[in-house]
Amino acid sequence: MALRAALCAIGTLCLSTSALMAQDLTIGSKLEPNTLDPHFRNAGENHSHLPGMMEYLVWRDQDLVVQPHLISSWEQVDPVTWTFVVRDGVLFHDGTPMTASDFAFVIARVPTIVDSPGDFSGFVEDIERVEITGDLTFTLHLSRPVADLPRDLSALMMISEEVGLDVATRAFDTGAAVIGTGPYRLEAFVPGQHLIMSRFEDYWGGLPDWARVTILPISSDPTRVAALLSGEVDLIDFVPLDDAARLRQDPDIRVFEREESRLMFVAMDSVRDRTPHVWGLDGAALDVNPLQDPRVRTALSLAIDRDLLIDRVLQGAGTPAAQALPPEIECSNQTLSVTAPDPERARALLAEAGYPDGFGLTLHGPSDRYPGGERVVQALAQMWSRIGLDIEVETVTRNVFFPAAADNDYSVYFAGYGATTVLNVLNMIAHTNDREVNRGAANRGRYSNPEVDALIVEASATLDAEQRCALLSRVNEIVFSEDMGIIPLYHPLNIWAARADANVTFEPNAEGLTWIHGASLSPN
Amino acid sequence: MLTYVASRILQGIALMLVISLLVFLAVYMIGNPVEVLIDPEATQADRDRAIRALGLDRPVWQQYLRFLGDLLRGDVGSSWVYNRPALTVMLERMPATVELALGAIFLSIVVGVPLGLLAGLYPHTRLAKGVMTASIVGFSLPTFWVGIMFIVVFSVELGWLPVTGRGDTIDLFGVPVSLLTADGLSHAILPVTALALARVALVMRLVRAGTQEVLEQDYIKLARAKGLSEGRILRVHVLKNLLIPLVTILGLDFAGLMAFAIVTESVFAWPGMGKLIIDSIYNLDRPMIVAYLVVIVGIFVVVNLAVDLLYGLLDPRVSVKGSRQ
Repeated sequence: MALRAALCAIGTLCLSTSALMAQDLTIGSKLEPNTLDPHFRNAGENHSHLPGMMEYLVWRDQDLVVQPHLISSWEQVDPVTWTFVVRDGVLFHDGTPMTASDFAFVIARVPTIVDSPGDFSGFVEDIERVEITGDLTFTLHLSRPVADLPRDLSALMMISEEVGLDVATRAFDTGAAVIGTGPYRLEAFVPGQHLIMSRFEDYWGGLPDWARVTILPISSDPTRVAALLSGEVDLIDFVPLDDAARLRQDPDIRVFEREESRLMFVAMDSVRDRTPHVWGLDGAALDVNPLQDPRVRTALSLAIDRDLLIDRVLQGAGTPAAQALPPEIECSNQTLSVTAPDPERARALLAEAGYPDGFGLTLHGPSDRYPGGERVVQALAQMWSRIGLDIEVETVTRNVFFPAAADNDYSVYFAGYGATTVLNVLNMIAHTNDREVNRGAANRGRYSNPEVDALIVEASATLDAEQRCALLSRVNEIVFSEDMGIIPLYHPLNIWAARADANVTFEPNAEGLTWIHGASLSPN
Repeated sequence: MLTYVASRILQGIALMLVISLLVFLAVYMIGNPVEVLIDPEATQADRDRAIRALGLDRPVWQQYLRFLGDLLRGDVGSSWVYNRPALTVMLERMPATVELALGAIFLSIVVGVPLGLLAGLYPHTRLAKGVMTASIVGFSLPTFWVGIMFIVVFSVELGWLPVTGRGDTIDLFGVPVSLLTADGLSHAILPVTALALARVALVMRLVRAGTQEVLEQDYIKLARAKGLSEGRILRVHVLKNLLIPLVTILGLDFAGLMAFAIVTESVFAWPGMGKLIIDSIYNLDRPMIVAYLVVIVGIFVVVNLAVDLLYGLLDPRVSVKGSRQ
C-alpha cells in the first residue's frame, strides 16, 4: 500500500494500476448497524461495520489477541493501576489530533447511555478514576483488580471528545457525530438501504485501500449470493452452507473461511431432581432426572458422530469441538481430544446407569439462529435414537427459544455461545447460574459444579496469564470431559465470498465480523 | 354523512387500542426481550440493567398504562433497537413500501383490465383461454419463489436488472422517491412485478367475470337496441359498472400490500416497512411492533372508509348510512 502511494508520487505508474483495479468496494452484508452511535448497543450488527470508522480503543486482531493500536503500549503498575501510552500522530476525521483526554471522554460517556437494551457499562464499571498524566499518557485507577483490562477496552470504539457528553443518538445517524480515527469516514447512512464510507486520506495507518466502501444490507441468503454472482456486490458475508460448495468451484469467486470462536453445544439440565421434558419408557414422567448421572451425559456425547454431523449436515462448515473454544485461541487446553463416536459404549453406560432400555427426552433448539441448526437438531435426535433413546425434537424461532431457555423451560437443548476469551465462555456457560455473584448468565442448562465455580473465580482474579490459562485448562477438562456437563459439538465455520474481478482479498477473523480492515485490494 | 365518518373513525381508534394491548400481551407472553436483544457475553448485572432501562421490571399492566400515558402526549415510544422514536423510524421506511404497493396496483390495472376485458368480450377465443390459464399460474406461484426466480433469470443469468436495494432517489415534496430516476426504476421493476403478479391475475379474473355479467344486463340490450356504438357501450356502460367491484378489491388490496409486502421486501432487500417489522419481531422490539401494527390498522381503517365513500359515489343505488339522499 505504502509502496503504491510512493509510486504514485513519482509519476504515472499509479495511473495504470488504478485503471486496472477498481478502488470502490461494495459489500453485501447480512448485518446492518441499528445506529451509528458506537456506545448505544453491544451487538454483532453494530460491531461488524462501525469499527471501519470508529476504531476500538484497544485492538483485537483476527485471532482475538489484544494488540496496541490507538494505544501504543500499556503496563500494569499494581493490581489496581494501569498506565497507557496513546499513539502519537493519530488524527480524527475532523483533523484534530487524538489525545489522552479522548480516551477519558469515551470511558466517561459509556455509563451515560440510557434506555439501552444492552449497553457497554460492564466494560468500564471497575474503572474508578481516569487520571490524565500528559497529552499522550493516562492512568486508570480500578476499584478492584481486573485480570485483563485491555481486553475490556477492546469492546469500546473511539470517538472524539468534540462530540460532547450530551450528544444524541440522532446526531450519529445524521453523521455529524461520527468523528472517529478509522480508515474510512462516513459519507451516507440510510437505514435499510446503504452505509457509504469514503477513504480518510490522513489515516494514521497509511492510505486505506478503497476510495469508497458501500455496505448494502441484504438479509436474505439467496439474494446475497445472487447479488455477488450478478456482480452487484464484490464481497458477501455469511455465505449459506448450501452455496459454499458451489462457490468454491467457481473460478470467478474467491472464498474465505475461518472457524469461529464459538462453541455449538448441547446443554442438559443436571441440577433439578425432576426435569420437565424427560420421560420413562411408559411415557410417564420420571421421578428421577437421568441427566444428573454423568454416565448418561457421557453416553449422549458418545452417541454423537461429530465428523459425520459436520461432513453431511453442515457440508463441512465446522470443526469438531472438545472444549470451549478452538484450540488455537489463547488459554485453550492443548491435550483434550474430540470424543470419537462409540454407540456400543454409550449403550453400556446407559445400562450401567439403570436405563438398559433407554428413556425419552425432548431436544429443543432455535430454528433460525444458527446455519444448519435445524438439521443439526434432527441429526442429533437420530444419533440418540440409535442408542435406544426415545427422542422428540422441537425447534422454535430464536425470539421464543432464548427467553424460554433462560426461564429454565427445557431439559436438553442445542445452542451456541460465541465469545472472545475462554474465560468468558466458561464463566458464562459453565459457572453455576448465580445472580448473587453475577456469573453463569448464559448457563441455561443450569450445570453446576462447585469445583468448577471455584476454579473460574480463581482464574478471574489471577493476573498472571500463564497461571490463568492453566486454571482454565483444568476447567475445560472437568466440564467437557470428566463431568460432560455440557456436550461440545463443533466450532462453526464462517464463510465469505468475493468476486475475483474485484481484486479483493479478505482476511477473516475468528469473530465472524466483516471488518473493513480485513478487506484489502490485491490482484490475486 | 359526517356522523357516519366520525363513528367509523372512532371505531378505528378503538381497534388501534385493542391491537396495541394485544401486542403488549403477546410480547409479554413470548418472553423477556432482553434475552434476545442483549449481547450473549453480557453478565447477569448487564441483563438486569437492561431490563430496568426498558422498564421491563414492572408488571405488564403498569408498562401498558405507561404506554397509554405517553400516547396521550402523542408519544408512541422509542424503538429499543434504533434508539429513536418508533413512528419516525417507521415513517422513514414508508415511502419505499408505498412505492412498491402503488407500482403493483398500477401494473395490475394497466395489464389486468385490458386483458380481462378482452377475455370477457371474446370468451371463446384462444387469447381468452390463455389469459385464464395464465391467471391460475399467477395466483398459485408463491411470491418468494417468483422473486428468487426473477433474480436468477433477469439479474444473474441475463444481467439486465439489479438484484437488490432501491436505487437512486430524488426528493418529491420532501419524500424520497425512486420511481422517477432511471436507476431507481430499474431497481423497482423486479420487486414490483413480483408483487403485482398475483394482483394482475386477480384483476383479470374479476374484470372478465364482471364483463360477462354486465353484458347480459337489460340496459346493455337496450343500449344496443338504441343503436349506440360498441365503443360507447363499453366505455359508459360496461367499464363504469365494472369499477365498483374493482375499486373495492384494489382498495382493500392496497392496504394489504402495504402490510404484507414483507416477503417481496425481504427477497429484494427493499428498504420498506415490511423488512423493518420482520427485524423488529425477531428482536422483540415491542415499541416498534406496536407502532407498526397501529399504523397499519390506521391505514386499513382509512382505506376501508375511502372505499365505502367511493362506492357511494360510483353507484347511486348505494347510500352511505346516515347520509341524506
